[in-house]
Amino acid sequence: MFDWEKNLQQITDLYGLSGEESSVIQWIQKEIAPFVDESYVNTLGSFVAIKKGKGSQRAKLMISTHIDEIGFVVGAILENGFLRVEPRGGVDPKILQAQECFVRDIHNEMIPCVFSTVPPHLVKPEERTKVPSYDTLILDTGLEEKEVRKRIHVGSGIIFKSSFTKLLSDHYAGKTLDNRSCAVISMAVAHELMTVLHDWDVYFVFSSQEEVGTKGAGTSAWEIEPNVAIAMDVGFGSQNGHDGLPLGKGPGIGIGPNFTPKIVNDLRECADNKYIPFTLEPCARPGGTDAGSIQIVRSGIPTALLSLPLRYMHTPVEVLNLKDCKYIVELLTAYIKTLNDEYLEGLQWS
Amino acid sequence: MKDILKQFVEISAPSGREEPIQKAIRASIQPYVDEIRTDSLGNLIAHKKGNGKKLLFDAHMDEIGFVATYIDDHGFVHIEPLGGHNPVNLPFQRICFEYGSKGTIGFESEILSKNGADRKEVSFDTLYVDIGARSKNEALSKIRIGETATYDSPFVDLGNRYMSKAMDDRIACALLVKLIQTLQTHHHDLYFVFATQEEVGLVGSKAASYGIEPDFGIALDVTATGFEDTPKGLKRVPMKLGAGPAIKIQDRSMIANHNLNQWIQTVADQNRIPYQFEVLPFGGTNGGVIQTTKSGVYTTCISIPTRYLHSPSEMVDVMDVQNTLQLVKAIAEKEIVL
Amino acid sequence: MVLKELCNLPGISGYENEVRTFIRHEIADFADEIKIDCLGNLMVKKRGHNCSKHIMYLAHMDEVGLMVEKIDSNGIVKFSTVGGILPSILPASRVTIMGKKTLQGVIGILPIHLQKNAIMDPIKMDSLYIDVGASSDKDLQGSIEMGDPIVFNTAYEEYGRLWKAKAFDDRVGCSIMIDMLKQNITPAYDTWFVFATQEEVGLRGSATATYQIQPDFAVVLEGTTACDNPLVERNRYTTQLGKGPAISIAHNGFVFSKKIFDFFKSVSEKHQIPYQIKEKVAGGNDATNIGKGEKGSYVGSLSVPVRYIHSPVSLMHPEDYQNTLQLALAIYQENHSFLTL
Repeated sequence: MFDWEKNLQQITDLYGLSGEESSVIQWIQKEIAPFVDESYVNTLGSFVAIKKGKGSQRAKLMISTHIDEIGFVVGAILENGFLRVEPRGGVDPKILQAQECFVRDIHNEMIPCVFSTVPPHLVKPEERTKVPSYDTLILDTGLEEKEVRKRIHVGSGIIFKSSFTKLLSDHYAGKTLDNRSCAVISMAVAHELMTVLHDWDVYFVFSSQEEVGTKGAGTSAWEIEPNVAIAMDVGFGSQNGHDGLPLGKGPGIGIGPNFTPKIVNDLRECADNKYIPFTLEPCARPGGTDAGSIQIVRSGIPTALLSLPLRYMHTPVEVLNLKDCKYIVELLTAYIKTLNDEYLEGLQWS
Repeated sequence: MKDILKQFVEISAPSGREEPIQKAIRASIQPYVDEIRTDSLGNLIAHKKGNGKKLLFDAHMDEIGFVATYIDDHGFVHIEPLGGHNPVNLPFQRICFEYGSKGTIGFESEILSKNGADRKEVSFDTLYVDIGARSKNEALSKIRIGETATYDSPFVDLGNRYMSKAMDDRIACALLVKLIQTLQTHHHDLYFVFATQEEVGLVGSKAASYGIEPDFGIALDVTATGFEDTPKGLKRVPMKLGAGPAIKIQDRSMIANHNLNQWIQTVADQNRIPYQFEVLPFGGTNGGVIQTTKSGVYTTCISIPTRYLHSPSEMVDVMDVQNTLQLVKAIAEKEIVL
Repeated sequence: MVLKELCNLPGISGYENEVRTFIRHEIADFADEIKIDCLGNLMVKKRGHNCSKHIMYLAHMDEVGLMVEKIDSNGIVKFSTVGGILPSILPASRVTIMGKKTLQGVIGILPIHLQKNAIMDPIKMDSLYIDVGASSDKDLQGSIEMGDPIVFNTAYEEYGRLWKAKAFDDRVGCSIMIDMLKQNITPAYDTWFVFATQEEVGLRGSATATYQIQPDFAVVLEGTTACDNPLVERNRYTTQLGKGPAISIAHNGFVFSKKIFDFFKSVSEKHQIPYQIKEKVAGGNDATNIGKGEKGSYVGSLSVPVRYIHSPVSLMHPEDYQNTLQLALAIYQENHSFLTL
């Protein structure tokens, strides 16, 4: 049995800012080892785990899920040890007041801290309508300035502190479900493939630095040269004020110039055959996900995107529905089974 | 060092028109390198052979500038930017065109008088260059459409600080030239890229790096200073003059490689070279494109703190320059182990 | 000290039951009389050597929080605030709804990518809601309903040299009073320790307690705002962490007697306990009710500086706790000298 709750809990607790994903990689390496044949870490810090297929052509499917998270780095140490921060990746400054974080010190210890607030008693009327900015947000570690300067420097990483929580009806809340939840889906697919015959080699790429420009996926694809690549990332879920991908109703399948029509159609067909629900997700402009950079590597790579519906993206309380994760495992496993020697020829444009 | 720097910053060579600076750099390093070539984008690539992995040092040769696009009936020259200019900084600056004509950037008084001075109205649509021509014809005899220009702002030695246009990034060119001239021993196979068109989007470096396929990349560039350097400096910028070279943590183009940074810190500590960390909320360097070359390159950037970036009076600290040279030299001499 | 346990308990204004039960259990062995009045104030009497005067110490049990206002058909929980809470601190925070069932929820916000005017638009209270993972209101039938209290989901923790929790305002006062009771001192005059309700919604519990006790001398123990951070102008700091208990000169709608102010200062100087003067009159507390209640009373306010009060996460300094406790104990033992002045 694949323990979703345990895996999601553990992987989302880990520190892994863009460019500093090594703790996440160590954890995945350990957990996925029994399901795959080999693995390595590449130059830009993406982790590649390979499950060999039985086919003669050694065709390669790359499944890319990024494992970095948004957060901050220390921008300056102020008087009394308060910290000014600079975001790494897109964080909404409006959600930060009174939000708890961890700053990682030079010994890799996690120091708890909180974004300061001015209490309502002291807020001036004109400040009530002011939107907070990174000029006005500072972190309080409770440590003395001396100690702060000893353990923390400009550039020390900061992540949200947020515990993985079960809500009602298969919903879960936590930080960095974007996109570690998809990494866990990849692990579940690898687990599933242990008992499935498949022709192609499957390269599970746990990519780095997506949040700062989808860097890890592109360089990994360059190295692997896959025949087909599927990026898996979170998509905007339906929530109050936004009509997006409904939660619990299966993945989004990306459709648009970024995605190869044949793969999109095959994924849809697999879903239909297995009665797996899905939502078509039109993406008029390429980019934003790993699929954006993978598609244009070398002479081009046939690419598709599966989206896991997620609410409150880029906050410490992102919400997903576990049913959707399981649907994606089913869909990808079914798709991988269809990959054979002939499949390659079908990818040529007519 | 000062002589090379003075020579380099006073050469006018904006993005896409780097030949004058390229020639000067080539002349000063040719005897000291094993191979030297210029590629189709104008990058100057020098190679000092070594047995180890490939280490690439990058500095960009181009500077921000202007290009003449239109001459009106009064003989005023209208210009467009090459690289990142804030038009608000431009009125009444002197500039020098490619073939020697000089002028000042003018700006309609009507715009100034509106609400005192509504600086929002200042843009390349409202700015023009007055080259002292009495007529369109006179202007046309001095300037050709398509001619580029740069600030007319020579090198000044302020004692402990240097001031000039084009410190960005000729200071790094000068540092690399000095490094090439003085480097005695080195482990790595060293490539020095003097890149073109950084200011318009990291253009030259991308191609150069693709051709070289380095194992390690170190960009040398300038960085801004902030609230600890000048009284009303940017709150989100921690760097300051005189605190040593800045090791890049992040900017808009790149998260520098963590392990490479740690190795550089060790080298600096061993050699007692002061350094600071750089977190920059805006801008990018060639490091950003070197990093994503092919299957990826371990990359960082070492920055020389510079005040008043992209102005005619970019200012660096002499100690920072010396310490940066010490640091890149110490790096070039050693084997990088990550 | 039971501060940690107190802060972890839920108890918004009017729903202080769990806090009251806990305190009652803690102090049972040290009380000569225990009363709970109509508003839920827990009133604990310590018999003195003399019953001719009445002394009162008061701290409030309630905390700021939220309340279920409406459950939409799509399962979204709308809320109102109980006590002074700014909308800007709420997005992406975690809350616990204390209904028939205890539900975890998160306060949602549109992802930054989808906001049209991200830099311009401040957070408005009526755009906020709680997501408990329900797909429709039917999912929530029998679990939660309108009026259920909601508290911030924050656990006590040590933060460097500081303590972190929700509700230091005013569980810190409660905790100090519990520690005072546990000293089992027989005071000069009959003394009531009042653990009051509903301070955050308009100083309501203290009004009825004052009516019943009619104290001659009273001290309010509070957690007060400390705004000592470098982004705030120095003149708005109000109090600072680590500088000892804050003595109030005046706050919203009430000026403390010069006699009380001098008495507090002299006691702390005599015992060499550091103290600070609260530098702002912003905010108010139960002392107002006590001071102008019935026949009027000498009342003082001793406060523990707390950073980020009225938010999910507040910080305080352990030394301030100890010093406030020491000063409160010294006043407790010497207040007869004030009354005979």
